[in-house]
Amino acid sequence: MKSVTKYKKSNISSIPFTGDDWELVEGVRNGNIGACTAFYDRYSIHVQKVLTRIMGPDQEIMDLCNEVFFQSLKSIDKLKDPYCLKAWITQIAVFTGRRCIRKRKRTNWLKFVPFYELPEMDRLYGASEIPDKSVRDVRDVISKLSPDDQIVFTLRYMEQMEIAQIADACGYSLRTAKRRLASCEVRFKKIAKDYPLIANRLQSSEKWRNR
Amino acid sequence: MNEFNKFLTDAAKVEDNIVESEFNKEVYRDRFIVHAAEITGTVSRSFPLFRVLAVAGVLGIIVLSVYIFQNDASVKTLETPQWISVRGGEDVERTFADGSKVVLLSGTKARISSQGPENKIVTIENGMASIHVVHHTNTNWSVMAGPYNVKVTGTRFSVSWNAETEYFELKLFEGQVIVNGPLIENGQILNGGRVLTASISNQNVAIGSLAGEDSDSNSELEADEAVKNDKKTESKEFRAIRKTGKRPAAKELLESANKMRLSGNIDEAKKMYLNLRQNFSNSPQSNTAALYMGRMLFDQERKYKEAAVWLQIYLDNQTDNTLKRETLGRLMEAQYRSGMKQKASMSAKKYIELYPEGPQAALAARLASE
Repeated sequence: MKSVTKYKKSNISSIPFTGDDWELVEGVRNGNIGACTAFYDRYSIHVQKVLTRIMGPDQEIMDLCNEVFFQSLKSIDKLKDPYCLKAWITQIAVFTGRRCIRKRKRTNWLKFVPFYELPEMDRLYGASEIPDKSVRDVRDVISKLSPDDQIVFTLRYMEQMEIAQIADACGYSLRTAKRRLASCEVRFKKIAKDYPLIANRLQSSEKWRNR
Repeated sequence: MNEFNKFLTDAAKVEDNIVESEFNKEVYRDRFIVHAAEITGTVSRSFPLFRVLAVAGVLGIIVLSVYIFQNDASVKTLETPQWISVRGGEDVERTFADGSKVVLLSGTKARISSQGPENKIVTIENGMASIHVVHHTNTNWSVMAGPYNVKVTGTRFSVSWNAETEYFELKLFEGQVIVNGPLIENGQILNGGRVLTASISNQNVAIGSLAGEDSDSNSELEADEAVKNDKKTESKEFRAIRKTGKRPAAKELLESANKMRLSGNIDEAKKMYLNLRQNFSNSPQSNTAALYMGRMLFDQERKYKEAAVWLQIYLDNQTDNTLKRETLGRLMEAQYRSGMKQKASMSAKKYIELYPEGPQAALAARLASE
């Protein structure tokens, strides 16, 4: 049953481009449209997940996902080791997400409400079967962190990535990634005090209570 | 994992579900494929020299425009020329405010620019245009077809210029025009119902009637026409092969067809694959052509029903098991997408039987159970 879930998406939409990442990269570099499509099919779910972690279920997620792939097609010649394709595209996704968040924060003064409180966000969350408001609240808290903190926090605690992987994706050293993670945990806790549902959950978790 | 971390991972799953339910991913995938074709086309060309030349060209135009404007205030601003390259099978039509109309036929490359509302310049780099100019007192239309200049007032005509063969043709249906250019340096007045052809490479100019009689050099004109019409039906690749004077081998033809397919020239690729299958029916390339035909119809044209037919042909005529798994998987998908659920189910069962661990086994299992 597990394997069914794993292959479900790719089977419906994939093109059988036989070959590993090295061949895939070669195909893309040579302008083989089949390889480009296979590239998208192979990594779109991963990119989409990384972007969703960083930005939440935003309305622009799929546009950003395509943007990541356009960027990677344009700069595929710069990829040194084709076997690092996944890590490389993760980095592009992180940078794309960060750029988008920064741009929004810069233009936030034009709006009366932050983007995550816009009506369309209500509609997005409202469409799902959420047991309580806490999922929405946790996204609110994350959105109040700085863009870099948002990325580190969500990749670590929501996507369960290793710190070394986060450092790689964000372009940090391991030490910087650890330091940033520690500082953003503190900030998260501080902001979460204004959200009773999140604060209660933090209090009930011994590890987070003592941080 | 502590409780709060578990809550965060659950929240991530909720957000993933929202994204899954909110977006039609097929639309974004299709959009990507379309843009990828454009991007991969530009990757190979994006060398710095090209960019430098483009920037230099733009700067040159700006400097020239400023110079002209400062030196002669009475000169009307030259609007940015509209570059049109007609690809695919459909003609492009431009209608102007005064009722004049320009139709650029498939394969034509042209620029349309205007100097004020009355003065229009149509420059045909290559190809054929059908033009209908509505006469007004101030109307001043100029059509440049390669080195030829056609001065127009009010008339209806078609003009073509083939840069490769240096062949010019003007068919004037009504009105009067003056044509200038190589071999007719002093200008030639042409009246309605006449056709003027000029072949620079053959140093020949001919004027005839549109019906074909009274031609000054009919035979040459017809010969040129025949070559031209013949060339219309064959691709550049075919022409290149024809120039070598020998019949193309199946392998060469397949390579050329693949090039066409990968460059997005689907119609040409189809012709070549069909040609290969007709002329080299016993060659191994013939069956490969069927596979590529199926893939092309599947990926690029989304004609799943036709794709299924070609993929089935490939599988039926296969002598070895090359790409059998992939083709069977794709056949199953094509049949499913084209609504042939029973056939898709049968293909799926076959797939599971042959490749229970194959990459499309999960989909096959689902289709087989439907």
